[in-house]
Amino acid sequence: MINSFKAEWRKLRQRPAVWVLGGIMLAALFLFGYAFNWIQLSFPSKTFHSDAGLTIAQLKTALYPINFVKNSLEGVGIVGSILTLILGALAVGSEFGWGTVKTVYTQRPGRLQALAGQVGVVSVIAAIFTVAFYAVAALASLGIALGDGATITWPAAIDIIKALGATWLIFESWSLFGMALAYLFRQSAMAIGIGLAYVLAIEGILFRLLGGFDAGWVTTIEKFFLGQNAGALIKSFGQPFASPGAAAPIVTAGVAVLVLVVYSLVFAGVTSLVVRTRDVT
Amino acid sequence: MASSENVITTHKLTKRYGASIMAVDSLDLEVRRGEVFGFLGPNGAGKTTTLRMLLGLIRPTSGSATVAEHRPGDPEGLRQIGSLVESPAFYPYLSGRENLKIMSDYAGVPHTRVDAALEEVDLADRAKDRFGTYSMGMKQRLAVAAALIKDPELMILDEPTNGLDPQGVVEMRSLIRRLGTGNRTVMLSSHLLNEVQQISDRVAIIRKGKLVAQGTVHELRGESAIVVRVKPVDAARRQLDRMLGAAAVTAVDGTLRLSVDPDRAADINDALVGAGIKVSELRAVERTLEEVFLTLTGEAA
Repeated sequence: MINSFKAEWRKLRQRPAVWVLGGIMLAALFLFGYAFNWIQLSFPSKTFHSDAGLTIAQLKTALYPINFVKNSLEGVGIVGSILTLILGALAVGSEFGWGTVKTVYTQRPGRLQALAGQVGVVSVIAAIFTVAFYAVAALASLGIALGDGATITWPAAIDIIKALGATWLIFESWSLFGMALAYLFRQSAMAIGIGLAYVLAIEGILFRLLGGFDAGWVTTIEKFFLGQNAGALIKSFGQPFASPGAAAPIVTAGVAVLVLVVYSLVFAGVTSLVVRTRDVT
Repeated sequence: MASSENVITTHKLTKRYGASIMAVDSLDLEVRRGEVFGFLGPNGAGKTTTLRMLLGLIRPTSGSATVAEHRPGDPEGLRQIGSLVESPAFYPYLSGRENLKIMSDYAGVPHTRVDAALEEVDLADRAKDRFGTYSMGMKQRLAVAAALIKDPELMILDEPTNGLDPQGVVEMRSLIRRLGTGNRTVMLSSHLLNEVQQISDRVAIIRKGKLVAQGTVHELRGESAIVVRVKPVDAARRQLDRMLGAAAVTAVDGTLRLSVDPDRAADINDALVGAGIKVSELRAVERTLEEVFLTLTGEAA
């Protein structure tokens, strides 16, 4: 297990695609979470107005350190899901494309030990992404606050730790989903394609359309889906400002964490079964 | 444990795909410790499927196998096996050395073996270059190096000369000869029958998944003989019948084929000349492994 982890770590830490994905995630957070908002609020158009009736100075506090956790969590949603799903799919699927599955399996490790190494390293990379995510958010918010001459106040440490844990769990469950798809389809392209279709079409468009029915059964179904629970966990941290008409989380944070853990275990279990039983042709 | 005589034993090893495709059919193989074992068969005969089963990559439909004292795919067994199955596969964005470090991590052996393995396959000079930039010959050699870092007691090589240019074939041939020295067992699947004939102690030939022959190269090639062209033939025949026994002498297309050890050629020549018989041709004949292979597999052109 340790040997497989070492091998996997040596392999993935040197793979440019992994860090490109991380870079895209951080760039998206910095640009869409901070830079564009700051520019919009610092140089507002004449027609600018806030739906919540807030002033520009009040809106800007969303970009300051006191709100860096809440402001960043919004970026974890779709972008984080997609990128970590791709991370998991690439970590596994490329092995089939290069034919290295057979090279690894014939070297020595048992199949499940090799898989455990992959899961372990992808989990570490998800953790690195998580820490980097909040580090960039904290630095961006600090820079903006210093630039505006605002007071520097940070959220409580416990809130930061909770956000780190929640974000890692969300990244982890999506990356395990990507890995499971890649093992099932024995390639990364199909895994990424189907994963994206699921994230965007099922979790995104379908539930948005069904939401128009305002029916209880829709909410009941939603409670069992990965993306909806990830969204509920994000919402449980609150937003810098209460948005008029914003829907409440469909489940509590505790339930969302439980569902995400169950999903992660199911993905890992399905993957283990496939890895153990399938021929390498 | 090194006590067992056989490094590989299979018993009715079978792999069936669906209802109609029988890739390997009740295969019984024995590969003995320390020998170079040639594993031959035409394309699609089931060689690679057999090797994949021996390495635990695919599971047999029925039957059993023991490889290096363990069931196929057992990590402790794989520790003793170096292999190259079909094309060499490594991480294209990493150097040859980094790829070997990864493989040594998986194998649980120290990185100190990596440079020695690269030297062994003459890749030390290109060890820093990315695998994706390697020629086919270099890729094959890196695969052999990955097998060597475990210092395995058994090497399983599946068509190691596939895709190589003539220079690459020469280099690989030399490398395989080196690998086959000492106590190491080598199981070699190849289309290069001349090479297999030269370096193998024993050979198995399969066709359509079934074993059609297994034995030493000498056994498979059959008895050697001497062919003589003489005048007069009748007098020569009488002389040779008396000398060798009638059963050892056969007339073939105006010549006489003598089923005797070619070492007796000088004695036979003296006897014929001494009897006043003119000998215009006297040569030893042996079937090549290629002829045996073509006969047994029905692949003759």
